[in-house]
Amino acid sequence: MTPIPFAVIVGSGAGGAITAHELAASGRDVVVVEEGDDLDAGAFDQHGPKMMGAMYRRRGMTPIVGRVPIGYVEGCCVGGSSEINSGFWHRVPREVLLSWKGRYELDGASPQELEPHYEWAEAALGVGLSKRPWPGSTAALARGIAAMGWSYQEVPRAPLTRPDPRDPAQGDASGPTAGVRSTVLARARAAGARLISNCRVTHLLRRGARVDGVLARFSRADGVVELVRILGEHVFVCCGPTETPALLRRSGVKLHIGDTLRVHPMLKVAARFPEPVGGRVSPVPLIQIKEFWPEISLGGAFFSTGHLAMLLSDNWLANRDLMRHADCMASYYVAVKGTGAGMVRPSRVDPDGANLRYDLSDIDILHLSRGLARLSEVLLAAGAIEVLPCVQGLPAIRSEVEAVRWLDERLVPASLSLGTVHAFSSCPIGEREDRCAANSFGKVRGFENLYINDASMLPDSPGVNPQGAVMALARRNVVRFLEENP
Amino acid sequence: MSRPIQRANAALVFGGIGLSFFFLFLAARRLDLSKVAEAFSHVNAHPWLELAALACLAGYVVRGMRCRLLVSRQAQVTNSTATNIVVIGYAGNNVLPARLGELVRASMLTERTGMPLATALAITFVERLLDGLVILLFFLISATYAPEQTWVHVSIWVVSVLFGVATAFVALAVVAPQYVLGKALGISQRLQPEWRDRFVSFTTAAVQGVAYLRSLHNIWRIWVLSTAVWLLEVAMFYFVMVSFGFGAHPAWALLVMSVTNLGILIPASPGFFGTFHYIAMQALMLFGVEQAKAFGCAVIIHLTFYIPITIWGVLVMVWYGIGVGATLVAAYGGRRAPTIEVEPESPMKVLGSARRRLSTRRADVVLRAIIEALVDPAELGVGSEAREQILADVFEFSASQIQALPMRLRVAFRGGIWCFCAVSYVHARAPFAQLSSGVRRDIVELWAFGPVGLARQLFRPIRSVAYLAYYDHPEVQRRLADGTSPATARGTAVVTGAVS
Repeated sequence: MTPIPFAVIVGSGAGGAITAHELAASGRDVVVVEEGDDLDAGAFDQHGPKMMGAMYRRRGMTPIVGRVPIGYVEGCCVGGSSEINSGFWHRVPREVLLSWKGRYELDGASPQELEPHYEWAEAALGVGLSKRPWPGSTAALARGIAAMGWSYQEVPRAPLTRPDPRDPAQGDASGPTAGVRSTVLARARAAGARLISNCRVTHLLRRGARVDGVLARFSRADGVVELVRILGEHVFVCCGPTETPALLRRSGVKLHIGDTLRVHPMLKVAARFPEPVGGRVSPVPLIQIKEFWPEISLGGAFFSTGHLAMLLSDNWLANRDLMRHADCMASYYVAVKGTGAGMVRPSRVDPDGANLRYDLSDIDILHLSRGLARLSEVLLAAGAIEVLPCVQGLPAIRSEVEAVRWLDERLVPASLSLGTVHAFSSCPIGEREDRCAANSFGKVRGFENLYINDASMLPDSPGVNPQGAVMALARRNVVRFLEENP
Repeated sequence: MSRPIQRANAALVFGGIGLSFFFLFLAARRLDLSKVAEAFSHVNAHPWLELAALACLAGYVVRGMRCRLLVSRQAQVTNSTATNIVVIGYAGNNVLPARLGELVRASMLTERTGMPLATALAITFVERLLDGLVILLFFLISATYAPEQTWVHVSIWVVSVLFGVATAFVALAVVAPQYVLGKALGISQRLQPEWRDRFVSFTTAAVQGVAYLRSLHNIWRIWVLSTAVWLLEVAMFYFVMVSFGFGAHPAWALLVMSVTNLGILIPASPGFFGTFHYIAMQALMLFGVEQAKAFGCAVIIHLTFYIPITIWGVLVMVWYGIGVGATLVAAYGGRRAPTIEVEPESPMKVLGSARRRLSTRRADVVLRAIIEALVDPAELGVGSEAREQILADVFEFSASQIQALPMRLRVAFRGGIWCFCAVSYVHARAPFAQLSSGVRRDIVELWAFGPVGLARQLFRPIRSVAYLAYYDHPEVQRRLADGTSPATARGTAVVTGAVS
């Protein structure tokens, strides 16, 4: 009889990989179950159509419905969203952690406590800054920021092409991302963790206050789909901010699960400069404007000709001629903290689906409007000829007067084309039993051996890219788990 | 076989035979056998009984076609194999009590295709349910022709409730299989792991049995075939009734067929002896047919399906070289899902398996025409071959993206596109895909970028993915980078025109 693994980890993204690594490194028998395929992101053009088909959940077609529909993308492959995002790295600001402690009674999780976990993750991923000079689209934004006299931050990244992680100055941080697959998960596998890819967990096998294991659909290479049962002494659910609550609720675990989805709504703009800015060569601008943080963040968005066409398609008849200026264009974003409310529910009719809902608040609209004004100002100050927002019916912004109009006025919600790559907080952790799905270390309330350890556990919006928060908190939680289960 | 099971089997057999005798008694009491003999002597056999037999046999061929479709998610069988399996089931009912032929037929499906017995049973159940629904519909239609009788109305209510409940269960399994599996897990939570595995395995296999019905198109096909099956059955009844020369109306055949077939759902002795005759006779007598003729007609109708199907079934069993017992044994083996390890030391235990459904996307001419209206590679100056390739790639990507939408949005999108086609047909008096490229472009631009918000929302996903695929296409990027594209010239003209 095959021995029962010590832990079954559902999902191999940022949270799952680090959980697997810590458990495997401590000598435990670990099985990582991943729905997606085991693919090398470097083999694809980043964000290209082929990559979307192979590595994105629902091929990137996962809208969040609500007052304004929001396009949401997340990874569905070994490594999860860390394989498809831009690899920007942030530590959660101190004030955000304090807010979590106050509102959710989150135990620990101080900057000091998280410090070693950040350092470990940053070293594992090779997080660092880009070499200079900056690519054209980044330099243009920096020029505008300097002209406005605002504060900014060059965002560290985990780039795939860094030749020497010990010397960040030598790397090229503008290239494709190094996700956890080739870094943390590779180390976990080297330590003995077993990975089962193409295996979608559909239900948890509950027995009273315990979870015996999981029920999953395993897709074999020969086209046969098998219903399999995988037992484990402990089960860690790490399948992301939308799938974790969907799986838990589908399995009958519902207390504070999926009721508090949060996102960072993002509005993109295209800017046309008089000279080429090399967007196609270096698709990810590397600096962020922190002047208006935490409510509003401004920065550079991924660029390709196809993505430019998508950006312009809201006003295509007026803008399509601009496609011939693609070399002189770059894309940027306004992201807001997100004060609206959302939820996740498993779909009853769609076997692989979750119903996502997020209602943009009036404050979100206000912040998006002001963010658009600020972003347009800075891009025009950087020398942009025009700024083209993803807002249906809104003409190009060509002067500062046209830009600052949006400091006072509000964008029409129905005309917005919003997107997000940051979702979280659907199963918040903390000691507040009236609002938290799990305790401060991810142990699900009412269960002896069920844990969550991914972006769904963040108590609230971190206001920054959540990958750093997820990895640091996940590692902290596993370290605590190992202390309690020696 | 254990003693309780033996007792249960004996109870089934003797109970069935007892019911048959009871109904035969009801049918035969006060029956004048000499009048029955006279009715037989006046039967106009040629050509009506041959036609009846033909209609009966054709009905089984259509049942076979339906069975082939229903199992197509799990296994590929030919029409002839599927028909033979269906016939074996009916022949089994003719020689075994308590409709055990259904089990034989499910076992035969398992033996021939390797699918789990639970899946085969679910498919058989779905077939019976569809039969019941069609017959119920016929019953409702024909009841308007029948004289007022309390038992007819009561029967309609009882049968409607029974089939309504059964339909609700099947619909739940069709629409929300994960929900059903979740409920099964909840129910089996306290069972021992081995029994829980079996329960989950059985539930999953049963849910797979209704998988074919997860498409409206498939439901429509199955419904049409089911209707054809029972229209042929009505024809069989009608031809036999005509052969007795009592001036039968097709509506009579409709009612007699539906009442009789609903009646023989009652498990009885092999071949429905007694139950069939009594119920058919009563239904015929509703229209004023005298008892002897009605009984004689019931006997002939029964023989018309009983003899050929039993012979056909036995021949097939001989042809396949197996006996009923062997089939049941084979099915017993298929009852449990295989417990295999995917790889040595794998922590996975397999509870069941199914073949992944291959993508069978039908040619979506409307979507293709919309994409051609949104992007036109000819404006890049590419040759016709390259143009076709680019369009094919953009279409393939866009169609896959639309297919990936969550189900409710996908359904909404399809509904919206249907409305778009209808409106454009009214507007241009021709199907959208057959319009000239210029007209198509005008219509699409009006919808995708026009003043109506709902229309813009409808086109938002398709325009976004089409532009993404088009402008990220290597050939398009190469042309744009070369700066040889005259596309921008046309674009300028359009923009200028729009502004002015």
